[in-house]
Amino acid sequence: MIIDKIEINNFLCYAGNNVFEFSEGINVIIGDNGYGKSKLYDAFYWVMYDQVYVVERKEFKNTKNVKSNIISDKAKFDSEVGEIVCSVRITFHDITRGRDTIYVLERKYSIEKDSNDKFIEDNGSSFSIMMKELSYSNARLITDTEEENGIKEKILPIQMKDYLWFQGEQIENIIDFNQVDTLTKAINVLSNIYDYDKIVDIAKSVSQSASKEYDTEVRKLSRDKNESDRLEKLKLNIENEILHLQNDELEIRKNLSQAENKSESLLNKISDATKINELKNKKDHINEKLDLLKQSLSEEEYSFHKKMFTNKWILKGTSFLFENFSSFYSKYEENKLKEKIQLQNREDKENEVANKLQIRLPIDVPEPIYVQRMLDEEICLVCDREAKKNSLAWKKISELINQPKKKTKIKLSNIQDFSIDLRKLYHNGLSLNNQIDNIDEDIKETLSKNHKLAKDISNTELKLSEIENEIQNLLAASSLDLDSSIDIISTYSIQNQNVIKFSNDLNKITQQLEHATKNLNIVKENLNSLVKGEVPNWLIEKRDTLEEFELVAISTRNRVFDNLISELEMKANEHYEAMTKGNKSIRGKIKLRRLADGNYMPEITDEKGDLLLGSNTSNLTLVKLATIMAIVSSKGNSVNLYTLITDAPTSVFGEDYTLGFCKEISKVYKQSILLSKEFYKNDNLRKELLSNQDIKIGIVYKVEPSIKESERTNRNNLSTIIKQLN
Amino acid sequence: MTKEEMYKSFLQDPLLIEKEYFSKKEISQIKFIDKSKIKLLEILKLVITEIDDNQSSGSIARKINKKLNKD
Repeated sequence: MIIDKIEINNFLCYAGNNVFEFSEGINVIIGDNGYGKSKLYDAFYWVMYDQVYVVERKEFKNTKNVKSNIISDKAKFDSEVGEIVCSVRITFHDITRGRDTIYVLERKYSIEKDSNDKFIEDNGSSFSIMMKELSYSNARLITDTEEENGIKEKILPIQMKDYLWFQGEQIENIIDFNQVDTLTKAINVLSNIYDYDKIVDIAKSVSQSASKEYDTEVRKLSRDKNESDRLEKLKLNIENEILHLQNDELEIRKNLSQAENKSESLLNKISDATKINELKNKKDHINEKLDLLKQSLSEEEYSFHKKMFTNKWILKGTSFLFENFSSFYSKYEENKLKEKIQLQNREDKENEVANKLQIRLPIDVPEPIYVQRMLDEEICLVCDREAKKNSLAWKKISELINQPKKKTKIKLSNIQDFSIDLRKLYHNGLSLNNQIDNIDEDIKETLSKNHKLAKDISNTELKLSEIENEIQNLLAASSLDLDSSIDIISTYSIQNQNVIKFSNDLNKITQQLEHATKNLNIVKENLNSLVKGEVPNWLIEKRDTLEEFELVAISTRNRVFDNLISELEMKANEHYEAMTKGNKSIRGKIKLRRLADGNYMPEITDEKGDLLLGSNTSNLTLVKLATIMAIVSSKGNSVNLYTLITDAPTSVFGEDYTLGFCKEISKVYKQSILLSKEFYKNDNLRKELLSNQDIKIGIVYKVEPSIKESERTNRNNLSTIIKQLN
Repeated sequence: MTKEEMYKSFLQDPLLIEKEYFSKKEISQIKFIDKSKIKLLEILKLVITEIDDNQSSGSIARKINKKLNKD
């Protein structure tokens, strides 16, 4: 069954009549966000299920809930008074098993526009199927609801719907790594495992009733009724206990599966989360160090100013003053010494004169009054000779009066002596001068210390910035935030503890079950030993046959299920490898891991089978798409019978993956319709899509709005321009 | 899955070989339409047929009992 075409009339942004024709291979509708791709997906979905996706609500809504909203605004605006109809018609072509039949599925919805521009809305849509077998010329309208449903089921079986028609954002839910039964559901839907489950239920039921029938017969044949009754009661109690333990075991297995699964799902993130946490701790430590460094620098800067006085930096460059003072002081001392020598000389001379005079006449002999009388009378009274004034004799007499007396030593203390003060100043200056000589070195040391601190701060800030970048990169790559990374670590630890706890519980309950079963067998043997006569052979045979039936039914069901899983795993890997071919960054294989409760979970493992960590969103989406493809291709001839319609599945992919995906779906599905924006702006990728030999290309369209979003104020003139590209 | 395929899936169970109902080699020769002396195989065929006919579990259980009860 392939889709020949879809005709859309006045549906959402598709005003007027619009037609997309499709062929076998991959048909691609290219358009940017908001250009009408998803509305085309809605058109398909609406015809089949009478529902459209309401973006605001993020859910599908029936026509009766959205009513006139599904009709194009342009159609409503342009129309005169009267009926406005929107319709979507899909033409399916069944060419399987020699058939050549056309099914035209059409859904319509109409409203009435009155003269006041008000709309009278119909409550629901109408649906019809027209069938035409091409070997016959006449087409016929399908009127029988059951036949209608049969045709719809043939076009898209309801259990296959999720795996064949889906939007990119639904991939997460179709294969949900957080739901332990995500693959079990798929296996149930796509295989006849339900039949095996039903057989297991029947086998358990008939085996139990045969066992009871046998027990009743054994009781009947007992030679000790009381003992038989007692043992029967005991048996019943043990059976109840076993049932109780089995229920507990089931519950524990479920809990263990969930814990293991949560732990496994976190394992992918734990490495990043631990790294982020370590980096965060490192960052905190560096921040503390940075604060200390900044504090030290601030103290040093404050102390730098103080050192102007404490370390006498203010005297820097004043050495010359001390030199000047030294010179002055030296001169002063020199002069003082000279003066002292001069005074000493003078004193010596005076003493010498005095000593000479003292040899001829003693001092004050004759007494000065007589000497003065001689000078006044100009006569020497000693020799009685005349001594005229200013004559030599008169002068000699005069000398007697004026003769120098032997003076006491001239003391220097009589002159102001600054030696002591100057010496003190000199010594102070000397000490200061030593310090002044060291000021440059001291400043240099202090500046060097500050410079080192500033450098340490700068380096620390750089380190901090590197760590911050590393954290941001890790956060971006792992889609985590700081808080969630801490949560992950604690949740991971809790889940691991749970795994240990539930494993221990499981061991304990398994032992209890073994013990109870052993007791039950003993009680059964005791009951048998009380039998007198013989239990009929047919009853023994019935009981044994049905016990075997139960065992075989259970083990066959599990084996078939495991085989389906193996097949699914193999096919998923084929698709995964094909889609990632040429991309060297991709490693690993898809492994469908069995959980403790019997469910399976897809994961990426390395060659050794160990879980591969650090898979990004693209990888995980590819795993899911590969698994979806495997599910569909495992279901008999599904890939040839049904068309894949998918809206934006490649939105998280790079170019390689997008092309890999296109190649693979064109290979796997007879027909697919891909709605994508990846080829809209990327000309090279579009050319590759249209020309790559490995892609079995169908018809490629480009859709664009008639008026750009930036240029329109309302949608009253909005329609969609469809351009075929090949 | 056909009745024959489903029947074969049960025949491959190790328990049946362990009980020496048949050897592994003989499995391929056993056909769904063949009547067997092994009651378990007759029961399996009965269940598969009834399941294929969309019969209810209760009805199938009654038919099994009838087949194994004293004639």
